[in-house]
Amino acid sequence: MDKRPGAKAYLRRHFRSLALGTFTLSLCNLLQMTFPKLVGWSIDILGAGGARRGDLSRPVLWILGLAVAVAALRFIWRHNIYGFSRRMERDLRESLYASFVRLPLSRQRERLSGDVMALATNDIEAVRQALGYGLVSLVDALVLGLAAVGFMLSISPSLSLVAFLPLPFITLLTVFFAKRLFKRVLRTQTVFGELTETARENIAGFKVIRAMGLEELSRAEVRAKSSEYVRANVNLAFLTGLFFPLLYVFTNLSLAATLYFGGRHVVFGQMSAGDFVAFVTYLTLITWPLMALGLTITRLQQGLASLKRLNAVIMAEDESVHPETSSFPLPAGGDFSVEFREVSFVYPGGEKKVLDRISLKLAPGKINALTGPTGAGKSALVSLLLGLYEPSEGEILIDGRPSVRFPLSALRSLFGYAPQDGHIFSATLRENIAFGKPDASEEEISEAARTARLLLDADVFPQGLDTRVGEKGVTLSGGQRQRVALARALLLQPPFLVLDDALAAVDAKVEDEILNNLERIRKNQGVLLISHRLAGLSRAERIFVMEEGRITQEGTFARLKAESGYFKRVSDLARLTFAKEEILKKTLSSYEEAGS
Amino acid sequence: MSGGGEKRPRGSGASAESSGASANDSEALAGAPPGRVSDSGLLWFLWPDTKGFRGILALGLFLIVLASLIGVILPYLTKVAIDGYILPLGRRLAVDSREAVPPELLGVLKADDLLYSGTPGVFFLEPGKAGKLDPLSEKALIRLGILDKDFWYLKKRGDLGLDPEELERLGEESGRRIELHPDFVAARERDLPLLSGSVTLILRGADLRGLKRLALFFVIVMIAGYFAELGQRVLLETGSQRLGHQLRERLLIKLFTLPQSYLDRQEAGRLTTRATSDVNNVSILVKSTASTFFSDLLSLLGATVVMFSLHWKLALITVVLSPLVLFATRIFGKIARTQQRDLRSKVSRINQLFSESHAGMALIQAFNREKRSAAEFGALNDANYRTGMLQLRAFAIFLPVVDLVSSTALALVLWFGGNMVLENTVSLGVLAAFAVYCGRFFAPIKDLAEKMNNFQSAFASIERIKSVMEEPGEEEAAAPLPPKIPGKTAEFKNVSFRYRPELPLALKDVTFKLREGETVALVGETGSGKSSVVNLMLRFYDPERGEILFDGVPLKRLDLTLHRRRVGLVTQDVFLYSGTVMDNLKLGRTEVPDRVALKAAEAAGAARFIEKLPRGYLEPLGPEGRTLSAGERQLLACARALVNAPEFIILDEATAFVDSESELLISEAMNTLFEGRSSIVVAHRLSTIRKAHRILVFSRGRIVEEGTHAELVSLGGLYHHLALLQGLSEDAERGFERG
Repeated sequence: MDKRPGAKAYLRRHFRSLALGTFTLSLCNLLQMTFPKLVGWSIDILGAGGARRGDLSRPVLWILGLAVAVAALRFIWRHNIYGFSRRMERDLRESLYASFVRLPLSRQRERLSGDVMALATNDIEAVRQALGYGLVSLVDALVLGLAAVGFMLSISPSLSLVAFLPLPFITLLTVFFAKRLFKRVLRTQTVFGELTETARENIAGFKVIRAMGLEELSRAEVRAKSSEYVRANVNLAFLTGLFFPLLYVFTNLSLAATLYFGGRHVVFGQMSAGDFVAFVTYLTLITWPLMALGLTITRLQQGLASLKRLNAVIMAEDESVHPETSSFPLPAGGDFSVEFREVSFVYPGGEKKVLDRISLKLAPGKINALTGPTGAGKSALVSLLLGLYEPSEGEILIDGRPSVRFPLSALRSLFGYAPQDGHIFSATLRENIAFGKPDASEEEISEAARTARLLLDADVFPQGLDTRVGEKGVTLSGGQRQRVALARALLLQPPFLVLDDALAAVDAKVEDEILNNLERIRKNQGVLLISHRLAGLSRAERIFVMEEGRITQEGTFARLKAESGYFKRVSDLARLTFAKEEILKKTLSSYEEAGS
Repeated sequence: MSGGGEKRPRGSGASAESSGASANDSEALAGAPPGRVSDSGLLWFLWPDTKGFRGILALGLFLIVLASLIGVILPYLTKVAIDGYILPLGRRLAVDSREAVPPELLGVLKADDLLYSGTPGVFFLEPGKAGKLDPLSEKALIRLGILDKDFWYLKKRGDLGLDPEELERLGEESGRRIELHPDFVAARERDLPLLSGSVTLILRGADLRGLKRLALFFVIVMIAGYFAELGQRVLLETGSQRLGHQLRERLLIKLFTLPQSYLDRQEAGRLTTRATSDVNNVSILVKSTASTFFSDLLSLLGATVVMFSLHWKLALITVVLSPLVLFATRIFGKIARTQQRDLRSKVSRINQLFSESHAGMALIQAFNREKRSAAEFGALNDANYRTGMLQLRAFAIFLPVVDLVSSTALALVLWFGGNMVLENTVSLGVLAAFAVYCGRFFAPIKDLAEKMNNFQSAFASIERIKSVMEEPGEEEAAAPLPPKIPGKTAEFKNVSFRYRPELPLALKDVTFKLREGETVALVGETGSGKSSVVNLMLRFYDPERGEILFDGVPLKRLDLTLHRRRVGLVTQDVFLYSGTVMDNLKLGRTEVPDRVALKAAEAAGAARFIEKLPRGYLEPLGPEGRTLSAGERQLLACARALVNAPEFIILDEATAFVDSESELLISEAMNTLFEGRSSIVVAHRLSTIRKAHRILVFSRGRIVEEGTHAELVSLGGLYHHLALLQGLSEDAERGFERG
């Protein structure tokens, strides 16, 4: 796995725009401070006496010229500084994603469970804000502030001291408030998210709500969240109301002090009136940079903290126990052996043994079935088989070799996997099916869809394979989702097929057809079928029953049905009878004809 | 507060304040296309919702005016301090009488403005008036020997609070630098620094005290301003948020009255946006209209009025370029909106891809897709970056252009105004004032231009909310009949139905009768029409042909709310509300006594698991509480239905896998439910079907078989084979949600 550059490398890469932007911004700020002087110059020319029409052309042309220069500089700094922050955002996000998809699931679970989205949204945003607005206000504060302070000191050091006295409080105050402020801002955002979720749930469930006459309750629920949101906003407004006007109080305090003490200076002739007026002007000029400084510090702090979190994921070491390259040939066909030896497994951060000393041997090149109550550990077993997690104890042997000796990609290329939830990506149907083989031909895809009994009817998929599905497209039912997931796995023509309860949401009749299709095309492909339905289980060469992390029963369908245990209990409960599929199909189709 | 940069929003650190709002603003941009905007009548639409807190809003508005007034007073106090106490500088005129001064040289001043000092031949111009002398007249008067070229410190004798002897002594100590007139005490400005400290202290004692008072007054006003500002912010936020709350409530009430067919057409997400982001936009609009818009408009108006009253020609020159800003704003606004929408959708795509990848990580890794997924993400990320740069460029051009216009206006004012000064048609003071007002005029314009986009999106939000509020509600009979109590029978007469005109028929000519106390099971594959029957019985839709009767009365003529109330519906989705088990049993009907709920839980067999909970009936459930297993949920749902003592039962049997013990309990609960009530059950399990008196077998919208279990099995038809397959039990394509 190649090493990805971290934040530092990106900083170096985009240093040029950062430097240019900062320079032009500083220059721009300095030029802007000359405008009042130019106006003063014009007034002085007019007041001096003996002025003529053309005399004003020089200051006026200066103003125009500077205005154009300032506009140009503004364009440049905006483009460079904000461009810099956007480039950093882009690179960091890309890096984050790339590292994230490569991080083993175990690491994702232990370290980042849940806050991946926070990293991808809040943290990236915080970094961009810090590098954009944060940087700009920092430069503003430094350049404008220092220049004004310089001017003021040159006018009167003693008065400057008096005037500056309240000003540090502004920055301190901001630092004090900023954290609480951001916290409340975050709180309003969180509550808004919750309000949206509550509203969405209730609106989506309108039908049930109405049918059961729950309007009042539903309204009360939304109302409660809405009130909470109102409160969060008012709380925020209270804090901002306390804080922002307070900044003005301190600057005005500074002004009042200047008026009084500066006024005395003038009265006692220690300062000229002109200097006094200039002093007051400069005092108002530095207010903003000082106010901004506090917010800037907080923003920069948050940005840095976010950058640290991002970098931790981006630079995360690959701790895989698997080798990079294979030292032996991969099994060619599907009839390789798969064996679990004394495998135990605890989810990272968990305590419960999800798998408890499991030992089993799958029949090579045959259909193997796994059944058992929910929560027995069936899906955990599949995760280990696919190398998504590593066993806590014991080992898995593939074709007689420990699975950890296979490179991960090689190991995974042996398996086609269809999960229970039939995960659908918001993309076209084609992209969803060709997920693992993006260059698959039209026929291959159609063939896989056909085998999975995914009917590409125009009334479900108006644009055929190019129909968008998922969040912003056609909503698929559970059964359709599972069939898409199955087609996705079948398209790979994998040596070994893992169906993790992958047909549970499909009609029994359709399941039957799918399994028929599968048996027809299977050849020597190995299959691990996880299912609750006896019709499916009956097709397996070997059935394993799993309960609470252990294998409790093992054998053929006929044997297990006879043996007392979970399997017999379940099949008795369902009072299953199995008819010959030919008769069944015939009757069904005759009824369909009659119905249409 | 005219700091250096241009990038900060008005009023300090709006960055933190606006960050919460901006996300929602742009959310609205991505929604439905903005409708007809600028209809100020839209604001009246909000008026009824302000009931109950109009006082708060009014008080908030009043405080805004107060706060902005104080904002104007503070700079004025600075001016007073300088002109009144620090440097009260007047002029000295040496003339015999007021009339001896050529009136044309006085300009805006009148002869009466010249104050007699009490000493013949000496007149003074007060500090406030001295500045009104325009520079050319000033020079002429000096040349005529009337006006002293120096400025003079001037104080009324009485104001000093000194007795005549003290004054005499002061005059002497000052080395005759202080002129003592009967009415005035005066000294040349340039002589002031030459006075000794003690003399200054006596002469300027009143000024110094005045300065102190003023500084104190300044602090007091400022503190008042602080509280006005705080109050304004809290009150307006409260008002605008409560308005949003009301609006949300009204919207939700409205949504509950809309026909199901409307809700089917709309995505839940979109309707949710109405109640969240759109409402939020309205709150922000109200708040910002009140604060920013209001005060911007006030200061713009103020600046304009002052400028025109000072000098209308110069005012015209200042204002002439402002249409350029409006023009630039229009163009920029259009570009910005498109880009914003584009950016918004890209960002949401990115976030979606991220969360999807997160959820589907096992697949990405199992399918060896890491590299390709990263490449796809990279492409999207890059597209987002490029859009962002385009938006950035638009801003980088627009904002400096506006400032350029403002600077150009300043140059124009200086050039033309300066020449007017030379032509003697404008005073220097007026020109200096215009230099200041030029900035004061353009600042609010710029601010308003930036806000305009927000206003537009808020108006679009109101429009969208309004259109939902104006949707026709569910069709109700003109004079709805109360349902017969107790209800006993239901009947479908040749009912045909489709969900939408473009879809095929969901029910074809369905006729059946539900007799008193009878349990009828509906059996069939997904999409065969079972759920449609349930939907029609609750009148979520009306049939296309045929009629549905309850106790012989057409459903169309019944009071809908009362009808739905007497039907007990048990669905697969068991909604758990935040609250205790007891709350969930009563479902908000607080009038139900506890013992009724307890009895229902007992009857439904739910009591056993509830009593095992740590806090029993008071155990909190719902999103923040305990989660129940599928079986427990089903039992709770049955108990819930019983609490209401329904007359009909409609049960959509859950297909989820439940353990065998729960299965048994649920089966018993059903017996209780069905007992003595006319019931319809959408059945998936053989065990349930066998409880039914009659079974209707649906296929493709028709009833194809009808009879008891035994009859149908012996018939050897579709039912027989469905039953054989038993796969029915796991028909998880949940029919009830069909839309």
